[in-house]
Amino acid sequence: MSANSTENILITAATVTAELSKVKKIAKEMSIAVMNAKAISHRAGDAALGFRPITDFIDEMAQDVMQLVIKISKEAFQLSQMAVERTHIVNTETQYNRVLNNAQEARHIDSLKPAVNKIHQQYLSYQETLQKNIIGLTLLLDDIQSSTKGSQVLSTTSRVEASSAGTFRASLEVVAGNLEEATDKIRNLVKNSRNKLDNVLEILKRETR
Amino acid sequence: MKATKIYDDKYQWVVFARDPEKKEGIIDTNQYMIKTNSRTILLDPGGIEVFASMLTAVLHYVSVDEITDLFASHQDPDIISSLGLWEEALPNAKLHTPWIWESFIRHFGSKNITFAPIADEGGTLDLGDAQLEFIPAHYLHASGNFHVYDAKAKILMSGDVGAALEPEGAPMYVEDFDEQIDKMKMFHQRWMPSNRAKQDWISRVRKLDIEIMAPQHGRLFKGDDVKRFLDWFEALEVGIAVP
Repeated sequence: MSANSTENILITAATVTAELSKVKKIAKEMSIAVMNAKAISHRAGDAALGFRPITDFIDEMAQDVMQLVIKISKEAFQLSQMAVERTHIVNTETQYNRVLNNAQEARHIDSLKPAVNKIHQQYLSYQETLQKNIIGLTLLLDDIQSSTKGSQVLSTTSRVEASSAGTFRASLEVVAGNLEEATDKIRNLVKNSRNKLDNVLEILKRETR
Repeated sequence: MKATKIYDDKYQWVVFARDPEKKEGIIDTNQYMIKTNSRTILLDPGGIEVFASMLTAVLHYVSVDEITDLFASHQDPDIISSLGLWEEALPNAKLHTPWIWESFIRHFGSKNITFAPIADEGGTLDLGDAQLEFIPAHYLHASGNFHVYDAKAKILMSGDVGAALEPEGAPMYVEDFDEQIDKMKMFHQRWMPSNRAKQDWISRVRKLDIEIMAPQHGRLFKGDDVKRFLDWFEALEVGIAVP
């Protein structure tokens, strides 16, 4: 067990929260862009008929992503809190082990053993809960990836629909382009967070073994 | 950590100090223990940095189950920042501390310990053979501050009053009072904020029968050196950092 893993958890939780606030911002921008696209396709009338359900779908996806980000941020904050509490247990166990080593000759050393065992059980319990919490977070991140999975297909479809929108073609092509760019960014940010959590999970598993 | 019995009769007073494992740059502290047949109290058990040495030393005298009480004269980290660590081994102990610091001291990782807040006027604690009195020492130096007086042992644990900044491994008792002055002067002038509080404390403490005055840093005062200290402290102007 090391202080480094606690530091890793704290940094990861903070990084995930920061990355997700970027994701939330992009999703919000997507939602605004969709409102704009809806207005354009409304003006385009029948020429943009196929574009309308696409805007509804994008809007739904942006809302889903924002909701997931709020949920994940709360979980990541709890993870930070747990990491701090774990630091206390890690430090406590280190101090008590020092006493066990140094006080071998002490008359009352045996009286300390129940407390040392209790502290170790607390540590194991924290390790388990932290692992569960991190796995929960990775699943939520996977949900974001799933929500944005169809975006590339959607972007291609958008371009096809935009091409038949007459004078509104250029505007709708911009919307399709923005959608592709935004979802790529979201997916990369989420992938980055996911990798960081996987690393921490691996460290925790190694420590518990 | 060096352990020295300073009273040994039906019950014992032990001072733990001069920790050779103490990290450089950390002020040396004196921790005290009073052990009776039924209870044991640790007075100003110390900071996180001395916890392992302190507990190691204590286990030579008592089991953790025998430690029933902790006392923190005030809220400073060198007094009680080890609280969160002690708690793990002493789930049933009580912490006696000035009421004004309870919510501050909880920042030292405290979750479970029972607080026994001491009112401004002070109080008493019955340890069986030993009867302790919490003597108000507010503004000496903390705004809520107590010393511990044991009338039977004639010991006053005087917190930061009488403290000195000493080199490593200093003797446990003052050997030459005049030589001690240089080590105490700046400490008292800078850390003690109130001349009025100081004079009030001196007038109350002069009425106590004291054989040993035991501060939280530096050396202990014995016999006539107690009176010498009170006379010196009375004449000293404190709270000098006001521009």
